[in-house]
Amino acid sequence: MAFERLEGFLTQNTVLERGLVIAPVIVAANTLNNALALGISFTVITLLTLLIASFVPKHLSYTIRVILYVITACIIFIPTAKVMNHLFTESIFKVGIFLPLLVTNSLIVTKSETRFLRKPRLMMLLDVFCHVIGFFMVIVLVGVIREILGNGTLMGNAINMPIHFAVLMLPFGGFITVGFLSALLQRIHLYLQQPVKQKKRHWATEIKEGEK
Amino acid sequence: MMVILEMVEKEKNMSNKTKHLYLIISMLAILIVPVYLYGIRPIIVMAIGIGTAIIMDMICRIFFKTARKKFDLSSIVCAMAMALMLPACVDYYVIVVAVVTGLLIAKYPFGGTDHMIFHPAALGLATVAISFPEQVFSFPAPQTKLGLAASLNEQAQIIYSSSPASILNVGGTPKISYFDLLLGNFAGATGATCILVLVLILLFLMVRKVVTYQLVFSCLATVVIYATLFPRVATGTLNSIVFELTSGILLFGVTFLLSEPATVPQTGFGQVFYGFVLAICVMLFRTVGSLDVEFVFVLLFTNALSKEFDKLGHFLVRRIKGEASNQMKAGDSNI
Repeated sequence: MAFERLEGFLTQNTVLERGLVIAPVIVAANTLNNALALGISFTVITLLTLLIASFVPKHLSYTIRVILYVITACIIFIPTAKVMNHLFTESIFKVGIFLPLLVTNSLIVTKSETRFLRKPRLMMLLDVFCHVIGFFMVIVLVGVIREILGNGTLMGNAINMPIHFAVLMLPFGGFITVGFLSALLQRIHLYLQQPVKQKKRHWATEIKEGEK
Repeated sequence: MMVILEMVEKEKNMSNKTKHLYLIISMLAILIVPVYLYGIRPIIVMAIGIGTAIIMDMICRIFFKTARKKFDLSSIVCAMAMALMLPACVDYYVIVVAVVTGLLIAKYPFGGTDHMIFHPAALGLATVAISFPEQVFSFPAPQTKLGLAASLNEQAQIIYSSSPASILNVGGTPKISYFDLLLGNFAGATGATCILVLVLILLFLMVRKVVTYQLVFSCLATVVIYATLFPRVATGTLNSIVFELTSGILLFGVTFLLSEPATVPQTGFGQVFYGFVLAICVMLFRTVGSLDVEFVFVLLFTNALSKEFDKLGHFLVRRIKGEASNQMKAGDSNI
């Protein structure tokens, strides 16, 4: 039960499992700085918006409620963008439209009504926190992988890489990186779902198949 | 029922094995000309590619839990195609990266040979073309003997030359005689320059039904018509047609990359439309782009649509059959 509350990190990860909010990850998060700018903005905007959204009266119609959530997100976006512009000036320019687009991300527009706001407030906050932190981890990981392997740098500082693959800096590289991370997550998920005895048998079978 | 299915599977495996053997023999035949022009380096590059493909097959089969198919030579065919689409002076790590990315991204995640959507050779070449353009688009002049070092960057004796495709891209006219074109005496990808051998191999593969004539003729005819109507060369229609057909890796791609049955349509009409769209997109890419290997990018795009072309082909066949049967019924009722 406790593990199920934290499923937003891994088993119900926003990007790798649900396939939501993948556009900024695939297109814009090709360096660690860009990933941090997008990840922190997403965390602040989504968390605060859904916290405020939990106070919106339920007797309002669905359409009005969703519009109010997005307006709230836009209001929170303004100071967030100013702070991010101060911290990551170059990255804010590079990520372009993907930063403002975070105000209409799926967690705010869709998941708020179908999942988060149906729970008690504290449970909702924990669930939202897990989801946004799960997204943050993924976008940072993708940014690190793409910058190191694609550019041979980390946060703009050169690293001694013998070769680097410029293709990873393009959206194609983003798709491939997210695809492989998603496959890895699925593998971990399948392994965790097996009972302990079966896990030992499973590894023994895999070793025997590998020897064959 | 199981016996019949086994026989069908055996027949399919046998025909795939035969196709791949024909392709391997054809690519080995093409290799003779680059060896004459550049030394034994092209053989080394191809051998490294084949070795990488075999190792990748062994690793990926375990990791992706794909059943081992007897006589599955598709990875070797892809590796050989990639080696022949790269310049002869390419560093060894480039062919390794191309083979690894092609098989790891395009073949095994989708389930292996019969379930591929994208051609692994096209994907591998596209990846290295973007990642290492200085390697993939530097062509040595013919008759330049290349060393066997892993990296030829420091070798100052290499004379590089512009390929016809790059000359056409900047609005020029290649100054290559037809005789040199036929014999491959010009700069270009390792296996894509000897036009005479390529044409003979293409005819051979069409006769053996490794490549279907619908694909080949629809693609090449469209290129000819486009080159006639919108020439990039100012020295006449014939020159435009000849250089558009022989530049880049178009002819090589039509010969070897359109033979993978899992990535191309299966119906006749579907193949005709596929060839037409492929050729139009290649010519458009050539008009506005600046790469020598635009064929592989267009092929990846059309690979994704191959099933739709099949649906279009089925639809047309049903409509034609439906109209034919209606006409027959109308004829019978008149009698």
